[in-house]
Amino acid sequence: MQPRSASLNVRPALAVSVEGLTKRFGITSAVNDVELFVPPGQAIAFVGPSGAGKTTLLELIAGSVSPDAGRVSLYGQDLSSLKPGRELASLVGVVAQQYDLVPNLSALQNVLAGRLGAWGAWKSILSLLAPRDKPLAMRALERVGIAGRAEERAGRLSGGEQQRVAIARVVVQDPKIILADEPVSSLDPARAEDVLALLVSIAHERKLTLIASMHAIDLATRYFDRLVGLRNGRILFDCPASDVTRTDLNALYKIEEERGG
Amino acid sequence: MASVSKLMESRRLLMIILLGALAWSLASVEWKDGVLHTRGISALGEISGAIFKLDLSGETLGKLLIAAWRTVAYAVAGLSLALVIGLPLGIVGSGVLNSSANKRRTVQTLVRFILGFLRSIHELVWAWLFVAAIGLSPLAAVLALAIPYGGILGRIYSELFQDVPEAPLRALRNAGASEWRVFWYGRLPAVLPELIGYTFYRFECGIRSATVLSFVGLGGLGYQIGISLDDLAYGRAWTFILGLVGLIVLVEAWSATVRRKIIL
Ligand SMILES: Nc1ncnc2c1ncn2[C@@H]1O[C@H](COP(=O)(O)OP(=O)(O)O)[C@@H](O)[C@H]1O
Ligand SMILES: [Mg+2]
Repeated sequence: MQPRSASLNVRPALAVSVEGLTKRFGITSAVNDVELFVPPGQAIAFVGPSGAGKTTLLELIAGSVSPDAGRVSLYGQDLSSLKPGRELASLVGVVAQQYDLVPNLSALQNVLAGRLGAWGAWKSILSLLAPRDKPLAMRALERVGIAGRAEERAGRLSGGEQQRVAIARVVVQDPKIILADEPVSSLDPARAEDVLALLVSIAHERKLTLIASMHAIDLATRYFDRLVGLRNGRILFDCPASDVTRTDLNALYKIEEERGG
Repeated sequence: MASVSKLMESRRLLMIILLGALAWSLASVEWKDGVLHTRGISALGEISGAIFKLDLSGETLGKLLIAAWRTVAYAVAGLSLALVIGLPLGIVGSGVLNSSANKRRTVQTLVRFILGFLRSIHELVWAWLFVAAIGLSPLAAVLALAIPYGGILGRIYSELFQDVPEAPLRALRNAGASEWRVFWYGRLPAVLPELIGYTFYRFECGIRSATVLSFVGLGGLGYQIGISLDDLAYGRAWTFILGLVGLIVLVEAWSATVRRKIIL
């Protein structure tokens, strides 16, 4: 193990580095002394039973939750030194499970909301009344395949369409890292695969780092470069997706299976 | 467990106090002269019969038009001013723009107090005060309406803004939006249909209040109804009353249309 100051110098190119990260809720350690280093452009998935700490770890990396111990750096910058708002949003974007669009706004307006961190005050105010940067948003909607639904109220879109809008929003936000917490687990299997394929290929073509938590292990194995198995807040395995064995998975889900049986 | 039985006990005590208060208030009404004396009953019959003898003369209809116009004008001006008072106070008082919990609580308490003061005094009392201060002028009517309605709107708006699903707001914050941008892009669109519907409902109430206000001598439908009753011209009074009903129905229809059309 290298001293902390050295690790900064040795790995300046890391997109995400997580060291000794711990987050407790009462007596449970949701995330317990986690180390994780992610090079730029990698697609990495957290897998593990529910309650393993996947969401908490993603929130810690997103800076929306602060750790009890340890630290997170994004592109060599300490996360705690980054200002929330514009600065953080230019580095990290989030795609949630679902229900995070503003239902009464059109798909187009929801996509444009990805620009709110970058826009000045007047532009933000005006855009709700007369959309600014519309071509940018339309291109993003085209990329996710629902340009035809741009003017539809977001609340009226199907689950799959809503996730596409959420992806278009993060495209328009244009961060270097995308964090996605179970981005497709609320969709039916066929649609889940389409949307996941879309997310991964967009991350790939824009050379973005993608960190997702995944419920479906087969999708995770097929679409991600690397899998991190989490259980009880600790990393059980961390290896290329193709190297994950049956034994690894059995150990990962053991507790849940016992409980279920 | 102890606290549950204590709660039940205090509930029973409250029930007994309330029943006692009800019995006392019923007992303190003077029943012995009868609720209606015989003259009253015949007058009531005469008044209700007059609904079939509406005064539809050109003169009365002309007065109706002018009075209705005045009543609506007071209500519109009063409610517009109420909106100007209630919306900012509602936004600030909701505390949603404050990220520190301490500041939020202070602001909420302070604004809630102001809003409570504004609406705890009835518009009729405000009207008396303003007429005493600035005389019989439309401004007195408008201010008298605007103050309590501003308090009512502000109270409801602040609750609406607080009660918005968190997930979309969190998404906006993650996209780098500051709290006021989250408000503009997330909270306001989320509550807008309800906010508009509620404001229209209060506008309806405002028309009724403006009608009553004109008894103070400010002109309008209530004033005309009052004059007609003084003249014992019940048919004419009914014409104005039905005019008021028509007005409320119109506003309701307008409100429904606007609510249906509102999509961002
Ligand atoms: N806000 C919270 N308050 C209390 N406990 C929490 C909170 N968030 C997460 N936890 C707990 O932390 C652990 C990890 O949760 P989470 O990160 O949501 O796991 P996962 O996403 O893998 O299902 C769980 O035991 C959960 O109950
Ligand atoms: Mg989770």
